[in-house]
Amino acid sequence: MIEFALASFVLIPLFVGTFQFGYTFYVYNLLCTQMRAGARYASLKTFKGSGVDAFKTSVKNMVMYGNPDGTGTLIEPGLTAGQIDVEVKSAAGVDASATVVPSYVTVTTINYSVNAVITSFNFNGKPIVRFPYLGRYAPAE
Amino acid sequence: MDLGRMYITKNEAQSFADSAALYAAQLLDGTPTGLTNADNAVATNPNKWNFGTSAFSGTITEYSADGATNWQTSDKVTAAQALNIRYVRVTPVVSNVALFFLPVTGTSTTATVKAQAVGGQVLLGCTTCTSSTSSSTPPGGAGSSSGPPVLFPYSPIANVNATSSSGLPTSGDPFGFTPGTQYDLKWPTSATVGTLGNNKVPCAGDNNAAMVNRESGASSHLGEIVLNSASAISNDILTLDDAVGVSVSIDQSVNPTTGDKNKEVKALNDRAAQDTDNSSLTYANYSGNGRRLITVIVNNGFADSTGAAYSSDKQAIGLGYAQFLLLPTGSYTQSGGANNPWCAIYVGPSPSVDTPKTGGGGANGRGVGVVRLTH
Repeated sequence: MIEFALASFVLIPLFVGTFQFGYTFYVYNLLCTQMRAGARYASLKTFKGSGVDAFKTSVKNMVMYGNPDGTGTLIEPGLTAGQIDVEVKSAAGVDASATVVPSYVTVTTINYSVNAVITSFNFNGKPIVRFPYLGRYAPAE
Repeated sequence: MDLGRMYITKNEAQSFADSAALYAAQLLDGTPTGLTNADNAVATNPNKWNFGTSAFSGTITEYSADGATNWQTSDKVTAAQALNIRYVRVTPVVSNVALFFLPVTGTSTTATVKAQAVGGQVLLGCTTCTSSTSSSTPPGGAGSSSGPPVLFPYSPIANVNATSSSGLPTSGDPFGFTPGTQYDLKWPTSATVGTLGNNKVPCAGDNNAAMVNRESGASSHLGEIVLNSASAISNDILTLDDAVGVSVSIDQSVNPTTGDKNKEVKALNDRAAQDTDNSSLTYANYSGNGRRLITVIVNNGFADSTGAAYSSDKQAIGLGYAQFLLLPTGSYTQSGGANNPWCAIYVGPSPSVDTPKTGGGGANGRGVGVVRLTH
């Protein structure tokens, strides 16, 4: 009993620390996968001049749910649309629009916090994934 | 913990590989310079590892003509081979992932993590295009894994005298075209050689007696194929992608249809406007998203270069597939009615059609359908 009590001073923090980092790594790994899926989807999705917001919403849904409609189960625990940043830029780094031709897409996080029980880890701008824009540019639609 | 980091690194490397392969594949233009540009695109890709803090180094970038065999780094690719390169394989290698706990089991203090992606310029429609001549209703096409590629509903006339694909020249451009030159998607009625821009004068590459002779006898067949209604053709022009388009086999009639369907002008201009590069007039300078790039079947016309008509069963026979670049939006007009030609810029014969007469390059590049990850 005494031995366990003494050992627990080492073991419990070790187990808790392992859990915290292990869980955070798990979430971050999942986040990497979903960000890439979102960026790939965005890189091929038609960019309509009048539907920039809808474009970004569907990309965020792809990140959160694995489909552009936003149906099914949330893949990433606790991740909200407001914590995902989708940017579609021209080669010069200007936001794409009905008059600015898209060149690349970037998907990343905005202050996404992972609750690892004892402490939280905050991800802001990480992971960030950038893909060339290869979709159909439809400024008149 | 260490395994978790390795998994994350692997994931980050995969994002890098996917992105870099796409960026690099966009730059393959059939020249050694294109390979150098692709190498640079991989080297400067902004995606990072180590929780987004470290740039990738030691990445292996290799090239292949078919996306499956004979992968070589750019320094090993000859200029002749570069002409056929359409695929790039990116393999990021992270050889210094620090391990903190696993070494107590006797492992190294660092681990090596790899990922891989293949990006390529692929034809629209089919993944393994073949040139079946066995059926008048060709297999393949939209959404198929084999058969003829999905095609634009127009067919330019080749600048060679041939009544089948076996009659194409074995050296030089198989269709007698010059990359970078404009040819007629749609011919003007009663075409005559003259000053470019005038009524009834065809596009620059066709503005000569031999080509006008080949088109003579076309009657009201001006360039459209397979589809008849203006709305169907317009829809095909606008929506042609991996799943929509017409299919015609080589050595079969391209099924020319009749009429000057001026409603198609809007569709052509709208499609051109959907491209992220809506200004380049050569494929060498082109850097768009592929909307202006189209795959067509080239036919032999209705007569030879002297104007001697082919027999009816030898007219408008598909000789091979080719890539063209549509002109920038606004270039297609209907002010002259059927007197206007509608031109497109020749890029090169199509790359992945399984015949010895196609798959060549072209001074300005390979000709692409779209850039996609293939692995």
